[in-house]
Amino acid sequence: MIDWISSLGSWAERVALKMNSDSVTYALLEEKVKQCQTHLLDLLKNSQDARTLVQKPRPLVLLQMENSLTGIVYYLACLRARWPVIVVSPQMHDDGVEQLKASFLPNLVLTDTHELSFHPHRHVLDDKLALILLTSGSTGGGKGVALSYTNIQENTRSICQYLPIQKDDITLASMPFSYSYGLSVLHTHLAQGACVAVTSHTIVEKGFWELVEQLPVNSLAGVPHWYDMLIRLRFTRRSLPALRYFTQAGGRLSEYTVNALAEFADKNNSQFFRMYGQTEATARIAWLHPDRVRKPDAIGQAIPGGTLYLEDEEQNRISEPGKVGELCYIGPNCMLGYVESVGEMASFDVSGILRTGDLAYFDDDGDFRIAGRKKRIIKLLGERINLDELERLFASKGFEVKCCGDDSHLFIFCLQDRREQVHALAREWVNAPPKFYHVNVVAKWPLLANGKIDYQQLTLLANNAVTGN
Amino acid sequence: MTNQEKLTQAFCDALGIGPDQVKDDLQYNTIKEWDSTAHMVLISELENTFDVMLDTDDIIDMSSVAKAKEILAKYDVSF
Repeated sequence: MIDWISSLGSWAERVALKMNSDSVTYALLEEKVKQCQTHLLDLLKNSQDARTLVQKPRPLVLLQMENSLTGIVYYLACLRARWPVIVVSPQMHDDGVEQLKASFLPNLVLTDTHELSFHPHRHVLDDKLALILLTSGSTGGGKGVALSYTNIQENTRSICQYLPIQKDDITLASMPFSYSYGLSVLHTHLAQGACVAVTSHTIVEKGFWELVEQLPVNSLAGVPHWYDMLIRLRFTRRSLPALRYFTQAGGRLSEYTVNALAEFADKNNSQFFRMYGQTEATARIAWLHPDRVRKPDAIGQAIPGGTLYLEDEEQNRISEPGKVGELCYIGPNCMLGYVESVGEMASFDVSGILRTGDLAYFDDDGDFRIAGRKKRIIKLLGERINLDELERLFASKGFEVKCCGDDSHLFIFCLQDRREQVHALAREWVNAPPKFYHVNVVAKWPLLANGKIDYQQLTLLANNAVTGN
Repeated sequence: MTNQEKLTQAFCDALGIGPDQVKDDLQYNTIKEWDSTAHMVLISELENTFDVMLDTDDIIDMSSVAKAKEILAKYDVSF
């Protein structure tokens, strides 16, 4: 059991959550979580043949988790009852949700507006299994990352050791809880007896900025794209005396943004934490000390309790500064494993080593710095898209599609007669405004001598199409 | 193109919606296409189309199509 979940009530009358004008104390939150657990248990018992579900084996829950009191209570109730829960974005398209239901056969499906109990399957689920997050955000087609109670407990504890979260703090949840970084903000604050404010307002609304000033907010957390928008909104000209620190993770921050935020941090007397992580490591892997925050591409050092190292192509450890290799991580927050169906959840063979797929080196200070990516993965507006998985997703609908791109654009290629259908699917699946993805057609696929797709050639075609050449 | 047509075009390009959806009462965050990211794309599109530089307060005040017209009017764009 995760200690801070079983002891929520010990923070008594302290405020755990703020939503609009409502405050929810820890005592009330615990009460609501217990009630929810009882209620869900009844729901399961009433569904046919499900009487035995709640003993052993445990039920499997699919939660489309909103940033709302309902969403948080559902989530905590699952953790408290030790019911493994698949947490997905409420924005996930119907195709994606249906695919998950078919692969994982959840006994309960929960959203803010629906509670459905079905599939009286008796799943065999590993005792350690607590949470399944998706690698692909709301795009779908990705894999499930299976995380344990220990993973959550240890990563939360570790983050609380290096971030200055105090029990009187109020933070504003600006990221979805279905995203590992957003969820870690919830975990760490509940573990410290602090307060998480939840809002439906986004940074381009007055209501958001009123909350930041009125609560007032002591910390903020966001992905690079979010900070780019903040800068565009001239956030750095504001004075926010209560803002003690702010954190960034979820991709590479441009040098311009790093410097703008570092300057703001100096002027506003705030600490600026740049961090690195992956869902596969529950959330966090590394953090950069605020004193060295201006160092380009740096991710700093492993979080407390973890170890970072580099491997060359022969899988030998690299011991000299400046030499690039694959970034690897060992720690108690490394996932149980990937899962693509419920059958894979019966037991896990845990290696405890995470090969991140990122290329890095360490500098003379011993800080790790990112040099590139090994896998075909892009981060579009903070959302991870595995290009090979996206191609497979299109293939599952019968479309031959090839994808390439970078962190600013996704390019989708198809053959001429399929353009309209592919475009319609892309619109449905890709959670980004049209400027960020393009559907291009080719008469035939450019191939390398070995017969494989020539992605360099496709990238060239794509960039030419964008610049109008 | 009239300013109204230009405005409609800017909304369509930025949000990826059809011209029939660009009505005065269309509001921010009521359709999935008009989220915060798309809003910033829309702002750039409007700034380029009408050759203006919008203030931060105006950017966060632009909560509907009608409001966009009202704000642009302050920058001497008439509808």
